[in-house]
Amino acid sequence: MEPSTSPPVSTMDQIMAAEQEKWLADAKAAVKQQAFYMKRAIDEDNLRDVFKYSSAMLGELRTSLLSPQKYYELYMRAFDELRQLEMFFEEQRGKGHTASELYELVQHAGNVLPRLYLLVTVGAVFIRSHESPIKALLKDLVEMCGGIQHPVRGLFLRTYLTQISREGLTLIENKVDEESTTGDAVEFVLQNFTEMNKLWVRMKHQGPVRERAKRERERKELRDLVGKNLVILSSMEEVDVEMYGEIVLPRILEQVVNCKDELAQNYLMDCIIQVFPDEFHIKTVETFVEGCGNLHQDTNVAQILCGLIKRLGNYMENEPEASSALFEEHQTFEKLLEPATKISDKVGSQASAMIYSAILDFAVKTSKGEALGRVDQVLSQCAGALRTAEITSQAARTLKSILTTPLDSYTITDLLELGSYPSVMQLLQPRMQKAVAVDIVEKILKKGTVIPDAKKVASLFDFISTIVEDAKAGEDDDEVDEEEIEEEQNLVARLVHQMRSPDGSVEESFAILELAKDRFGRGGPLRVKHTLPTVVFDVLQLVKRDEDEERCVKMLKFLHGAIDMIAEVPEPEKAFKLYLECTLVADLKGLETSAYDFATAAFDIYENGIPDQKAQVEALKMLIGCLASCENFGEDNYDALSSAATKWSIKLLKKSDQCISVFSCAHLFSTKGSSEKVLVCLKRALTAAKQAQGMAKSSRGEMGPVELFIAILNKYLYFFDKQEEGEDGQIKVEDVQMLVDLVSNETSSLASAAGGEASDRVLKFYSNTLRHIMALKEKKPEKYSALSLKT
Amino acid sequence: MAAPRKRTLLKVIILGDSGVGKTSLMHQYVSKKFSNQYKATIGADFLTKEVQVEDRLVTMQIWDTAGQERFQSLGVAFYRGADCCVLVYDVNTAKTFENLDNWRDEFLIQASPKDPDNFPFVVLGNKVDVDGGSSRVVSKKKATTWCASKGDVPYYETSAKEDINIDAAFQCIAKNALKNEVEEEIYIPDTIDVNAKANVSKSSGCC
Repeated sequence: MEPSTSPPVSTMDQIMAAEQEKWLADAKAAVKQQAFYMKRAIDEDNLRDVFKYSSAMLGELRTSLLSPQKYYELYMRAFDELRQLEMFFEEQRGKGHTASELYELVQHAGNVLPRLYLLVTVGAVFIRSHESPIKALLKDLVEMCGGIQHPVRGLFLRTYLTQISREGLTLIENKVDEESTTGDAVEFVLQNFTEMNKLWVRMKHQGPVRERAKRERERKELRDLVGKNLVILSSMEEVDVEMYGEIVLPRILEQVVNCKDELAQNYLMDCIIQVFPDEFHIKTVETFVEGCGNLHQDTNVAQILCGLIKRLGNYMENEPEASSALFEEHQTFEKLLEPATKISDKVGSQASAMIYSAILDFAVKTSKGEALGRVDQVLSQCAGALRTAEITSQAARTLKSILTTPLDSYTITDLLELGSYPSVMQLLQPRMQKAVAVDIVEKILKKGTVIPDAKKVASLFDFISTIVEDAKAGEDDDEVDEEEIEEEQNLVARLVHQMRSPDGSVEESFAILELAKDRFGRGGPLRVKHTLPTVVFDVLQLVKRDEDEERCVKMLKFLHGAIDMIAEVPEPEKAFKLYLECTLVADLKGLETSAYDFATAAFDIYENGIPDQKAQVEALKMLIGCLASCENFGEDNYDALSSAATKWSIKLLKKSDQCISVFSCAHLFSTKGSSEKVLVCLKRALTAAKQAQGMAKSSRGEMGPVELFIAILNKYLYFFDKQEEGEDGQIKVEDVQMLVDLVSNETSSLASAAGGEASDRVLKFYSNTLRHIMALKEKKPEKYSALSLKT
Repeated sequence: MAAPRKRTLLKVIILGDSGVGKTSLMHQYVSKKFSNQYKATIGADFLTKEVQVEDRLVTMQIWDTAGQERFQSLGVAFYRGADCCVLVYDVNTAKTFENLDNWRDEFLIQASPKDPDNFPFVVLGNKVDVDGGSSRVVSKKKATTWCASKGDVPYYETSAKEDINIDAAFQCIAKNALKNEVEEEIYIPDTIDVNAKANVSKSSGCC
């Protein structure tokens, strides 16, 4: 009994078990006693008493009280004693009795069950005697056994017949009997099998409904008696694959299908798979699978088919060469796959998924050159079969394993050839689709696989579209979980670096990234902000190393579009930084128009998209830094950009910020030699610093007005030192002197006020500046002679 | 009371994991035939073979059994009365060797022989032919050590496929089974009135 199906042990069961033990003990004692008298009669050569006591002994098998397992124990006792009887009959034949006489004699036994056991026992002797054709004897015996219609008794009697007739079958196979053929032997076994199965199935309907569970349990115990007939057929050497395919299998299937009982069908189909050799299965797959299609609706067809496929898979592992030749010759794969659709219509999504999963495993294991094509065929058929089905959660798990199996067996680049992969994915709930997509991405990242061309990249995007694109309306009712999206998109973004031409071709790599941008663009703002920047960076790398100017311009244009999308998310700060990056690269390449476009785009964002003043200060700082690093702008463009930067600097809210930003702009003008504008900037910075001084005290950590003055003084010194005699709009020494005096006054009042960290810092800054001025005076005495320090 | 039977019947049970070659060993011994294809056995079934042991002709009833538990639905009532138990493993699969303990224990519990400590077992390490022995994982030493620890159980290395050591092994099995043939306890029914079954004694201690 299978533990899983055993009911919990109740008191009732315990009482019944105790009763069973008692009944069995009684019956065994009776068998022993009658056997004793039987053997005594044998010793005394008393044929009449032998019949009498052996009949009495066998009468114990008429009990209806015992469960099958207990009945089997009793049967084995009687069985052992019957061997003595068989030897006795054998000896009787030597003593002048013919086997046919004995065969007649035993038929006088009063009760039908003992009579039939005796008849079968004599039958064994009769078969050996060669007095009659074996086939006639077997036919007679198997028909006589029809006299017992009680299922348990009938099954055991026929089991006895099966066992006893084995010698006869061997004799037929060895051609000892000219009149009997292997066909007759097979017919005998099939007939016995059919009758036994009928008895076994009928048992289900006998007795009260409330004992149904108990009967099913008992039927499960009895199943091996029926299955054993199939072992006999498989052990017959003359039953070759032709006979198996033409007679044996169709006849077994006929009975199995017609009995319409799921217990019998589940068990016997499994028996067929286990008992007959691999080669037989390979050559008869069609018949078997067709039979599966005709089974009862409650029968677990999926499990049966999976069992067959598993067996064939094991054969592949054990005998790789012999089996693969056979599989190809007999088109096993096609024959398994083709009827699967028909079956899957009947069995529900979980069973279908299991069948396809098994066929997929088989294809992966057994196909050499064509494996990928076959895997794709399975996926395609699976997707088609389940498109309209309701996918249970169990089925979904199986489908997920269908999707992950090829992931383990093939490289990603091979996997991307599987055109039907996405359609199987679409059978799953979005959440599960995402899990598979994430698996795929993680595998690519872990292995460092390079996706080498646009076609492959396109199919990769199809595979992982659930995490790249927005769900179609109505598909995903989940609330958007931004954290989850961010996690996914970070993965996807890392994926971008794996998409490139392996031989470094800019053309191909750019085509790939163009496609990536296109697909990412479908992802909606929440995704775009994570994914597109990576595309931008990777294309920028391409621009940097590309020699082809025309293509560079094209790529830069592409970048502009990509960053525009980021800006629209809206992610202005991200877009702003990217525009600046592009400005630098375009400038580096000497592509002034592009660089200018990027810079103006950055200004646009600054103007419209960065509301926070602190962010504005930072952004302007970056912008000025960027412009300062550019080397290839023409004077007009550069001046326009620098002026704009200055304009925005002046508009900064805080005077201190204004001051710093403006004197930074001074540098921009100085690079193009516009000393007039440098001075304007410095003066404007000084004005801002003075205004700052007039306002409330600066907050902690920021530059106080005195510090600003010192900083401005330093700028003056810097530009004054650099400038050559005779230029227009130059910084005069008086300008510098004015600042020196201003700073000197401010610091002395600061020094007399309370100390503190801030004033210490300022005084230090001041003393450093003084030291710097003295150094300058020493170095260039004529230039600085007019500058005096009141120390 | 009962005179000794003229022919001796020896009952031998072959046990071991699925796929170790139990059925093949029996077929090779009884019919000198071998098939490489795996075929599961259902339940238990025997073949008989006459064999000469020293000066006696005995009939060996060799029970082949299902290695897969799911094909043993009726239990193991056929163990009872065995004269020898043959434990088979595959020298190329460690697990089948490790399971010998389970098979031996299971047999002793279910068959409950009178003298379990001295009940004759014979161990066969089958499939020594596979890959010329290069895929072997259970060494001869390991097997003989195990056999020694179980009371000097005879051990044979066999190949049902190549017919290596099969006859020798079964000769040994027959010899040991015959040694086990203890005088069956003499059974005397309390009453000779066969029509009064109800009076059969339960105190004879034999059932």
